[in-house]
Amino acid sequence: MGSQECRLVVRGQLLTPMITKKIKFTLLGCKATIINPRRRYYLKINASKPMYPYSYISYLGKIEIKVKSSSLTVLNQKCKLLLQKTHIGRYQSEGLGEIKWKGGYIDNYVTKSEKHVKERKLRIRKGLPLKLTLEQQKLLKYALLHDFFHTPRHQSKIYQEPQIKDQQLVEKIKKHHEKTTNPMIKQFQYYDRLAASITRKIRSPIISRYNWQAKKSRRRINFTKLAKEIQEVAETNIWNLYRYMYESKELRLVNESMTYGHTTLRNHLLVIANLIVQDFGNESRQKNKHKKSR
Amino acid sequence: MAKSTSKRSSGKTESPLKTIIPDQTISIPRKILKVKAFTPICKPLNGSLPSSKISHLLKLWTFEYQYKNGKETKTSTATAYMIKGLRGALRHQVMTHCKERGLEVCHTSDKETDQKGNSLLPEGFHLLGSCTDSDECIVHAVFGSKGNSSKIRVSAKPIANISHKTFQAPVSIQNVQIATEKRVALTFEGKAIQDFGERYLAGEFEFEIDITKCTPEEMGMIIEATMYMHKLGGGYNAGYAELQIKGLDLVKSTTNRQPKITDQNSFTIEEEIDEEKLPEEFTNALTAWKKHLREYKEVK
Ligand SMILES: [Zn+2]
Repeated sequence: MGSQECRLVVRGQLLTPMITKKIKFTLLGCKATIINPRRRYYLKINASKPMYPYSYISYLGKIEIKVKSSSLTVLNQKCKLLLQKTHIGRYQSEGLGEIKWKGGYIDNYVTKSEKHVKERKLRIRKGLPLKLTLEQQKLLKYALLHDFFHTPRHQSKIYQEPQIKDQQLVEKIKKHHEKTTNPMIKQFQYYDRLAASITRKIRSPIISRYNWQAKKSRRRINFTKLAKEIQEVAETNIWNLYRYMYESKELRLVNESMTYGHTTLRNHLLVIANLIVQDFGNESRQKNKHKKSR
Repeated sequence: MAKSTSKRSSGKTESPLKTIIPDQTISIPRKILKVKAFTPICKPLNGSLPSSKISHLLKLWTFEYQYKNGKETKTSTATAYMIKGLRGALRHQVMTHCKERGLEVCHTSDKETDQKGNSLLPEGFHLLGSCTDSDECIVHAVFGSKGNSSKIRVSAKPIANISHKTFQAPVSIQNVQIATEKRVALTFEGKAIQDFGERYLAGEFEFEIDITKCTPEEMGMIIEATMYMHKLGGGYNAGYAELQIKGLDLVKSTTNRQPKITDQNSFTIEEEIDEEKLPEEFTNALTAWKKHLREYKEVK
C-alpha cells in the first residue's frame, strides 16, 4: 500500500459562465474540474475601438475541487479559503464565474502509482518522414497546396495562384469542396475536416486575411512573391515543400478561415499533413503486427 | 463511487471531517448598491449562433419551476439568460458624468487614433491608463484598465420569461418579457430577402453594484452616475436600449456560509444572506463626492 492521505472534495455550482479554455484547472492550488460542462461563448465588444468582437470560451456546470493532504490543518485552511470565494476566473467584475457552494465529502485516499493512460497528442513534425510511397506523397502535396487555388467557395487564401505545372493536380484541388467519388479527394476531405475540428475552436469573424500578429508587426506580405516561391518549392519535392511551410513567416501571418479568426493558414496546413503522416505510421505498424502474428 | 471507500474509517475512529471543515460560519460582508431599473425594450446581446439568423441574449440554463393552477401544483420549464453589458453601461455613464462636472478622467480607449487616423479620444478625457504614473484619476481607480483590476462588480440575477404570476424556481430569477424582434435588412419588390431577428428584454429588473472596496467619494460618484444611467445594449439611436432608473439602495449584505455535517464523511453548505440598509453611508458618500469635485477644481 502507498502512503495514506485524506482527500477533501468540495462541490459547487457555477451560476454564471466561467471563462476557461479547459474544464480542468487549478484553483488555490487545488485540482478543479467542471462536471457536466456546458460551453458558452462570451462575446466581448469594445465599442470605443473599431474591432470585431472577441469571443471567450466559458463553461457552466457543476464544479468539483479535490485536495489531498496528510495534514488536517492544511485541509481546513483550504476549505476555508474555498468557501470564501464567490467568483472565479476572468471578468468577475462583469459577474462571470459566480459560484454557489453545495457541500462535499472526505475519504481516505491511498496514493497509488497511478497508471497514466497517455493521450495521443498530435505533434507537429519538423520534417516529413523519409519513407513515403508515391501515393502518400501525392496526397500530402494535394493537402499542402489545397488552399492556394481559387475554388467556387473561396479565393486562393493568398490571393494568388502558384503556377503549378501539374494541371491534373490543380484541377483536382479546385474540386476539394465538392462531392466526389475520387478516393484521394475523399481521403483529403476527411483530414481537412478533422484538422478543422482541431484548430477551429473559437468562432470569431474577421474582416481581413491578415491576423493580429501581422497587424502588430505591421508586416505586409508580397503575395505574388509568396505564390512564386510556393510554386518553385512544390516543383522540387514534398519534403522541401513541407519544410518551406514549416519555416514560412508569411503563412503565420495569414488567417485560415474568415469565420474562425484564431488559426493561421500555416497551422492548418501543418496539422493536416501531420494527421496524414500519423495515420500512415499507424497503418504500417498494424501491418507489421499482422505479419509478425502470422 | 469514491464515497464507498470512505466506509473503511467508520465505526472505530472519529471522522476527521470535524477538524477539516471550518467550525465557524464563514461570513463574506459586502456593500452593495441595489439598482431598480425598467426598460421598455433593450438588447444586451451576445451575438448570433452559427447557422442562425437570430442574435441571442447570453443563455445560461433551462430550469424547472412550479406554479399553482387552481389547487394543483404544476411543473413547467423556462430558460434563464444573463444581462450583459451592465458594467460597460455604468462605466460609460460615469465617464461622461465626470466630464460634465469638469473632471478629466480615463477614456475607454488606450489609442489616440484608429488605423485611418481618425481621433478616438474626445476632448476632456485622457487615454485609458495614462494617468497611473502621475495622478490616477477616480475612474481608473474604480474601473481599472488592462493589468489593473476593477474595484467593483456589476451584475444582475438571471432573467427569464415566465407567464405565470406566482412561481417557485430553484434559483432566484427575475421575471421579464423576453421575445424576438424580426427585422428586415433588405427588401426587393416588397419582399424581404434578408431578414434577421434580435432577442430583447422588457420590463422591470434589478442589478447590483458591489462597491465594498470603494472609498466614500468613489461610492458617491457611482451612486450619482447610476441615477443618470439611461442606456443599455445596442441601438440607442434607433430607439432601443432605453434604461430608466427607478430607485437605489445601499445595503450591507453579508453572505453566511455554514458547513453542516450530514453523515460520517459528508457535509452540505447552507447559505444565508443578511441585508441591512445603510442610508447614512449613502448620503455621506454623496457628500464626499461633492467635496472631491470641489477640491479638484481648487487645485486646478
Ligand atoms: Zn485616468
